[in-house]
Amino acid sequence: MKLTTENKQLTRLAELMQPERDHLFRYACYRLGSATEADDVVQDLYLRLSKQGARLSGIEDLKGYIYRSLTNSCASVLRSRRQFATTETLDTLSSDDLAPQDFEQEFRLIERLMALLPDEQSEVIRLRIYGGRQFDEIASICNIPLTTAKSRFRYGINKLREALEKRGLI
Amino acid sequence: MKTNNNLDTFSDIRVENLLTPHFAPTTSLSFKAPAPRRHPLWQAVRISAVAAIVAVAVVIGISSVQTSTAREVVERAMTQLLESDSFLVQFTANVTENKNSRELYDLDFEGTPMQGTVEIRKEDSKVKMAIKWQDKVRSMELYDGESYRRYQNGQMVLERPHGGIDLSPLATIDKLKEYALLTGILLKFREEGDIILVSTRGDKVGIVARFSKSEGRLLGAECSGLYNGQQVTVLTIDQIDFDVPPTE
Repeated sequence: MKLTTENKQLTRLAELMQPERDHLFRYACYRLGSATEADDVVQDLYLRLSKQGARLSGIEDLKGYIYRSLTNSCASVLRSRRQFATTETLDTLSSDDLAPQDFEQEFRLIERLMALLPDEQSEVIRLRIYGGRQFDEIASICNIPLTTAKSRFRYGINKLREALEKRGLI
Repeated sequence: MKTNNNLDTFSDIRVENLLTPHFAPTTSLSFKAPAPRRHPLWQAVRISAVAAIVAVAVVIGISSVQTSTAREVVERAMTQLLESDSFLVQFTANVTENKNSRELYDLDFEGTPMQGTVEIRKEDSKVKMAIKWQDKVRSMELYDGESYRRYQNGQMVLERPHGGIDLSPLATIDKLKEYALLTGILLKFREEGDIILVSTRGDKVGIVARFSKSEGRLLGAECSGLYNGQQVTVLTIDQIDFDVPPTE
């Protein structure tokens, strides 16, 4: 009986993660800047959650929980390598940098832009653009009201626009 | 004022466009509901997974290829592995007897070291596997493609139907990763200079096989995990041979 409940929950987990895999992977890619690390983080997330087995039945919004766990996992990876990280500012950004030619260049550009924002705004933008989440889902993942999720996105975009305009980049 | 708002909107779209990924890498990860944790063949799966992964690492060492990525090296090695008619893995493992009689031994940090072999052989389109333990009763677990049989002192003591061993997960890295996830194992391929690491992390133990590309040989392979705050090795691969004649 226990196995049946566990299997049911593991099936629920797999059926939720399979259609979300591209979004989960893309979020992790653009958070970590490495497809290999993103792959590892998403695999690890799945294994950690699957170990919870029958206890997953107590999680009503499992999809939100998955994304929340993913954001925490990525933050943990970043914390572990923070001492080696260097973030370039927008001051050295050229118009060429605005037209990246590959993932690495694109990630570096996005990182430089995100570095201008408070964490709570950049997180909403990442979940929206890379995680492909709707604002109500983001509100649930971040445990904030829907209006706050929307305004954080808007404030973040405004701030980036102003910064780029000030430097004559857009 | 309205014009400014329109300009802002246009600029906002440009900002969002800058943030939108155009070169996003893709993933081949696939999630399927795993088999029950207490699957009766769990132990066999674990042991065969150890054998397969380490065999991959050994073949990579033998091939000593000059390729650019770890993935290419491993893919080539897997092809060679699948083309090999048989391989024999000799190991030493810390084990305790399994209490539920359907499995013979569990890997255990507090277990007794015991030597054994895993022999995988392809015959008549079937894959046969034999796990032989050097215990007091010379236990052997045999998967012949139709049944599981356990022998002690040469006498069969247990038999049950079994669908056979499937080596197809070794066909590509993507399939291997999918298989590893199904069996609760995180599988990683890493290239660090001259060293390629094939590693896993499962429930209790991790497997690491290290080999040198330039020297073309396996440097070491083992299973270990944290136990009471210390890294403890529970399984060491002593030797692997390919295309070996059938053992008794």
